[in-house]
Amino acid sequence: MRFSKLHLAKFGMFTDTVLDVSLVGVNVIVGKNEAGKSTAMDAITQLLYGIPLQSVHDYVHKYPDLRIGGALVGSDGKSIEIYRIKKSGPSLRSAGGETIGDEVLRELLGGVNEDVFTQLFSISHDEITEGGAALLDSEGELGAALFGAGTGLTTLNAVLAKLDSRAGELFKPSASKPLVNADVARYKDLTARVKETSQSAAEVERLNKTLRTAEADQTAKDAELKSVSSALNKANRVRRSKVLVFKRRSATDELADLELQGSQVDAQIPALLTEASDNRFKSTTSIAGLEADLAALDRKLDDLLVDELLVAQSSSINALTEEIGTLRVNYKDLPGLNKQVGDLERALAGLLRRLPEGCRRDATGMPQLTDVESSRVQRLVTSRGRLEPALEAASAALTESAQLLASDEANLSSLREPADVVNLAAAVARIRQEGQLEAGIATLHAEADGLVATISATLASVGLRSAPRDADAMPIPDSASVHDADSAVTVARNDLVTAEKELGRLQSERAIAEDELQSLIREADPPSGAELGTERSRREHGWQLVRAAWLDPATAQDGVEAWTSGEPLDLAYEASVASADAVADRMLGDAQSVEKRAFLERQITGFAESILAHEGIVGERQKGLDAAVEQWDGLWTRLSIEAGDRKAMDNLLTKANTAAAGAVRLRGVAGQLDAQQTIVEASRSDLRSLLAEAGDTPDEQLTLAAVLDRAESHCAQAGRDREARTIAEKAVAAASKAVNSAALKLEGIEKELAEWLIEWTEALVPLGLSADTKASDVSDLLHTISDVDMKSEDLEEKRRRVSGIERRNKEIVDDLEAVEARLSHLGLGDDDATAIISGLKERLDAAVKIRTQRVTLEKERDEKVAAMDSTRGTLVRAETNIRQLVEQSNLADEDALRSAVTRTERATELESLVAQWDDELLEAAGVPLEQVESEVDELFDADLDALIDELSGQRDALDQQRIEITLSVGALRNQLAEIDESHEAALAAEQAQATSAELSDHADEYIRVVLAKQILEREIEDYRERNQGPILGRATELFERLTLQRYTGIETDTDRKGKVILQAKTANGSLIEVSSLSTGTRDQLYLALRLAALEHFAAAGQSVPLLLDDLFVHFDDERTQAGLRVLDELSNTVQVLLFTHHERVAEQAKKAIDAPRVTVLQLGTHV
Amino acid sequence: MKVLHAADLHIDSPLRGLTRYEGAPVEEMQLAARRATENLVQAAIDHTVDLVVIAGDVFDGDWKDYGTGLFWTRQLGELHDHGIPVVIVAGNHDAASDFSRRLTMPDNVTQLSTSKPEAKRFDDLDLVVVGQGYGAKSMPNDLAAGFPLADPGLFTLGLLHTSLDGRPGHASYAPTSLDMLRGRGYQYWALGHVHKREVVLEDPWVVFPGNVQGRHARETGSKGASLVTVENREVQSVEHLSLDVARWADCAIDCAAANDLDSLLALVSSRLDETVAEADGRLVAVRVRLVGASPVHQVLWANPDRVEAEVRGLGALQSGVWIEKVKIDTRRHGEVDSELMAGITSTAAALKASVDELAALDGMFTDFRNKIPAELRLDGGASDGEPVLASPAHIAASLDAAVDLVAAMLSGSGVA
Repeated sequence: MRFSKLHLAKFGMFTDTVLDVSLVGVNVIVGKNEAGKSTAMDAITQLLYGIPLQSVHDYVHKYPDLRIGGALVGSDGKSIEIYRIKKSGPSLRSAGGETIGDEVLRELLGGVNEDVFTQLFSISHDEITEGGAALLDSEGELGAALFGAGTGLTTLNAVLAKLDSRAGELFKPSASKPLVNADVARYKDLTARVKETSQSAAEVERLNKTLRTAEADQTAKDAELKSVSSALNKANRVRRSKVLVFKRRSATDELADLELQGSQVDAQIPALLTEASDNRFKSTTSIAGLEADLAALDRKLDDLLVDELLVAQSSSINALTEEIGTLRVNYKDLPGLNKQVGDLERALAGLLRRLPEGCRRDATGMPQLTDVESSRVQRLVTSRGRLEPALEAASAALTESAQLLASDEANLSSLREPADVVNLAAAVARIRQEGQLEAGIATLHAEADGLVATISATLASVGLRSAPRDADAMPIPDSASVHDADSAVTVARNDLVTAEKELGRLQSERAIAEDELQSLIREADPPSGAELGTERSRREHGWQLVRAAWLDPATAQDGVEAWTSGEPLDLAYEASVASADAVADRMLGDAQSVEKRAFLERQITGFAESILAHEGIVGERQKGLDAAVEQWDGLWTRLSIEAGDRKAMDNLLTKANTAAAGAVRLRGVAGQLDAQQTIVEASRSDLRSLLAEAGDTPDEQLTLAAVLDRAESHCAQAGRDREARTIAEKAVAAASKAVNSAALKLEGIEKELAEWLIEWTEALVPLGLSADTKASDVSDLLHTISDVDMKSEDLEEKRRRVSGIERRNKEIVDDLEAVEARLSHLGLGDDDATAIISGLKERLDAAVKIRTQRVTLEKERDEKVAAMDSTRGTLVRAETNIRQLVEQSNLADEDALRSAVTRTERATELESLVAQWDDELLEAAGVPLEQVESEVDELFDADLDALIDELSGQRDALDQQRIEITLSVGALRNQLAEIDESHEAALAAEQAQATSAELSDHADEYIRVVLAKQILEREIEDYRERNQGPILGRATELFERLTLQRYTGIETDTDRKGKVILQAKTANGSLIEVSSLSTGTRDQLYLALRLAALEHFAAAGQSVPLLLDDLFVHFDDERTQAGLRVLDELSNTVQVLLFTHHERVAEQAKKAIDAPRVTVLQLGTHV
Repeated sequence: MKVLHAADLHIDSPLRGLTRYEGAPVEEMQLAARRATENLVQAAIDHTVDLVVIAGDVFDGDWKDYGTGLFWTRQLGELHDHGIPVVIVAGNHDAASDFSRRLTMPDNVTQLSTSKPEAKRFDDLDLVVVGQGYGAKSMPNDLAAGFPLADPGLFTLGLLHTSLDGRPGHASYAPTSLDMLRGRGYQYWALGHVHKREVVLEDPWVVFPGNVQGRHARETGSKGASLVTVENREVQSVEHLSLDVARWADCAIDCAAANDLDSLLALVSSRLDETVAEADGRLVAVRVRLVGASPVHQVLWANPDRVEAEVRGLGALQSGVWIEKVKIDTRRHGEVDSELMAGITSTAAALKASVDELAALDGMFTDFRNKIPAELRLDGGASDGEPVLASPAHIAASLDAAVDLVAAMLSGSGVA
């Protein structure tokens, strides 16, 4: 099946695009980027096999509108036009829109389903690359190579590897990680866990029995242990209690003795007696001590006497002592003070002499100046210091400003007046805005010239004649007319060729039939019946002779000689049989030959009729062709052109259309040129007159651009002049302002100075100075007056201190005399006042100290007297108490009482001991006293330590046994307690079942994967065996051509593993393994195998168009051409549709393949 | 009077064939048989039955865990606390269980003799139960033949663990005939052993209640016990009570209408919805079988793992659904096979047809077979009623699937 036409009615970007692929040979369909190459290839597949549910080709035409069509020609030459729409039900339509059944198309496809079509009848450059790589991967293994090429499967190795790898993931005989191995291991673990956690009934019973035995053992051991422990406790008790029991017995015996020795007193009596005796003893001892102390105190008091008169004057004496100290200190300063007074008086006199005559003074001659006056003078001095430099600076500034003004004015007057260029500048701006007029004109000229040249060349190249500007006025036929006329010629020619072929076939078959007839006629005439009868008689006679020779040899010789002509009889008979058979055969053969001749004669007559009819058809078709050719030629005679073929005429049409478009453009350019020229002239004239107004008359010959430049230069100069003048005017204004400001400032300062002078004159009057006195002198005088004031105050203060010291001295002498009069008994003498006061102070301090000692001693004596009285009372009470105790005890005296008390105290002590021992015994033994005593008596003679050691040993042993039994009982009870409704084992069993299920799945998959690999490998091998012969031979030829004869064939060999592998044979005969081939050569080897397999497949009757997707994108030009020639040859078997993005491929195709057998179609130009 | 008739509890017998996967309701599914047994006891209490009869196979044969027995005695204790008597006969699995004989039963429980037919009278109910248990794992004799004739004054209930006249899928255990049963004159034959519920006869009533909990993919549908209502010594009704906690469902999905994986998954999803609705809130273990000649055949085979994961994902969206297995059993759709597929198919067919080839293939799996414990091989196949794992039959049966796998893998690379 092949296409004669493809109609991309509404599909993807295409609307009503028609591709004419009717010619035998290679169809190169060029679709540059985005031109829809892939869409067109999809369209072909979907036309044949349906538009899928989800299509991506609906971005221009929506799903319900999608429509792809084509004219399909079957192997029987029948043609049908079908369309495919997008629909879930029957989606095939006729050109007229009627639904067509799928079976029509299925018959044309001859069993090639979509998978086979897309895989086998589509080859892309990627597949070639992958195929080459697959050859390398399989190390050139022949089976894989053929299988891969025969199925278009480049990932066969990957599929095999994937199966291998998955099998390895699932299971390995000795490994732990693969899934099945891991499942088995986990299952075993889980079943072990089920066993571990299961609680068997027999085990439960055994445990119960063991527990009961152990519990009985435990009870017996408990009893035994109890008995030994009891004996041990008793022995221990006796050992701990024995001494106490004996001590207690001794004490109770002594108590009984005391009872016999005499009466005892009440329990409280001993303590009371002891207390009273102690009090009596302590009182007696204390009284004696106190009496001695009192006598000693009395003696001390008698020795201490006090001068009371002196003590009475203590305050006066203390005051004098203090004052005389201060006075002595002041007296030391007195000579210094007197000297300072003298110095001050002299200094003051000096200062006063320095005052001016007219200086105002008070009565004492001291200067009389108020603080206000002084401050005023001081302020004026300061003002003077400020005003003088200010006056000087203002005067200098005025001078400098005046000089600057003069300079700026001179500069301004030197500048020239700027020219008026307003109109000129406006004209320049306007003309500039209109663009590069002259340059534009040049460009337009160039374009026009180029167009003229291109159009002329284009027309000349196809023999058309026209003025370039009128090239669009030629009577060029439209493309539809051309297509129709050309199609008509093609169809008519094809029809003629078909008819001629048929005619030729008929003629050739008639010739064959005639030849055969002639050869039959030429053969010898057939034998007659008589000849056959003669031969058969001879054979019969021979038989009679043979039979006679066998039955009766004696008589047999008769006639033999005659019949055999000397030959032996047997040979002669065989010859007669053969001869008779030959005649019979010839007769039979001739009968057939007669029949054959009759048949041939009929056939020849039939051929003659058919030939006559076909000659008629040929004649008619020739006329049809002539008419079509005439129509075709008619299209071109209008152009005075001789009609060429479609390709040439398409070329001419393209060229003519290009020239026509050029002519339109050319006229447009000429119009633009005229308009531009007019504008240039007007502008030049304007500018020249404006320049003249500005005083510049340019040369008449200057171009517009030069005039423009000149005008712009004028405008620029005027601008610069205006700017300079503005700057100078601003400078003069600024300088004038500075001069005015300086003059004002100077005037202000001068006025201030005049006012100062008036105040200055007034202020100097109290000082007795004139106004012209220097400020510094005035300032010095103010300092002198201030000095006089300070010194005068200091002198006054010093004089007051000298008189104060002298007055105080006199007061002290008076006070001392009064005290001396009151203490005349002391005879104080005539020492100076200081010595007298000092002596008095010493005597007074001694008297006061004695008086203090005496007061302390008197207080002590009073306390002793009180203590004596108290002690004497205590003694009396103690003696009374002792007497009362004797009486209370009914005893004769104190001694009898003391004896009874001694007995009583001993008995009490013994009773206390007995009670204490009773407690100790109870604590030590833990049993009643009687029992202890009885046990002690019982074991009186026993060796307790030995007994205890023995019993302890027994008890420890029993204890150990009992612990063991208890532990065992506990463990058994725990074990039994753990046996409950637990479901651990059941859970583990469930997990084991889950693992079993997983294993089952994994095992299934493992078996499946291993089998899948087996099947695939066998199929590959079967495929090799089936196809190796036919495919490899053809692939060798193709490989040689694709490699430009660098390789001359493909050979096979067996590698070390016993696999059959491919080798490439070079031109010099050496063999190269696939792994050593270059990538490009490997790709070509794959392509050779692939195309050979495809041819083989197609030759078996399943031929559909072959879609090639940029097959030669990685080939150089030479190899591309070689490949294209191979495709040309392939196109005799399979229709070849080569899609490419590259124009280059189309060019190479035209070079490599003769014109009628290559059709180049441009996607995007056939809309 | 109400009698609850149950059989084949198979306590602690694990559910089989459930592959664990992310999202599977593992915990909910655990110990299903125990929980179904609890449901049985609760049903007896809720329906205030007068008697519970159990026709054998309380335990699961060689199961050794004494905890199972204790669980059972506690359940019986519950019935005891509610004053419900229980009569039990031992089944073949109980005979194989070494602790079932050692358990101390509460006094409401009567375990009928295994050496001769024994009658247990309930005078207050006007009822007598006649039965005999199994003393050994196999019981080739017709036990019913030894049963006494019915007491005309009482409602007589026969309790027997039997395969009757050989139910399909069950070995012959205490075989007997309906005529034999009729001849005893009993009003109700409470049978056990056959796991599929069946009312064999209504006059007299001969009933298999089925097991209380389905245990693997072949035990589909509702499972439980039969509630028998008796008035005037005549059966008034026999009602099936669903007691199972988890249900098994076999969902065969015809993929003919699926054009792609998404539309197929939509079919599966809708079928799962129906299945969940039918299960009445119970957990469901679903076997999803994708069948039919389908346009997605090759897609399924090219990505079986993905298909399984997607289907399990759908299961995870439904609460309480466990996708037990996803089996791809589809066929190629419509079109004439390519030469390649035809070649592969015929290669596989040739392998399958040749005894020598099969033997050679089988030899390739010797190591594999030896690696898998024998019980697992038996189990892996038997639970599905399919050939023993890695057996020659299994290998031969896997050839078709292998062809599909090859086709899909080649198709995955754009071929076939």
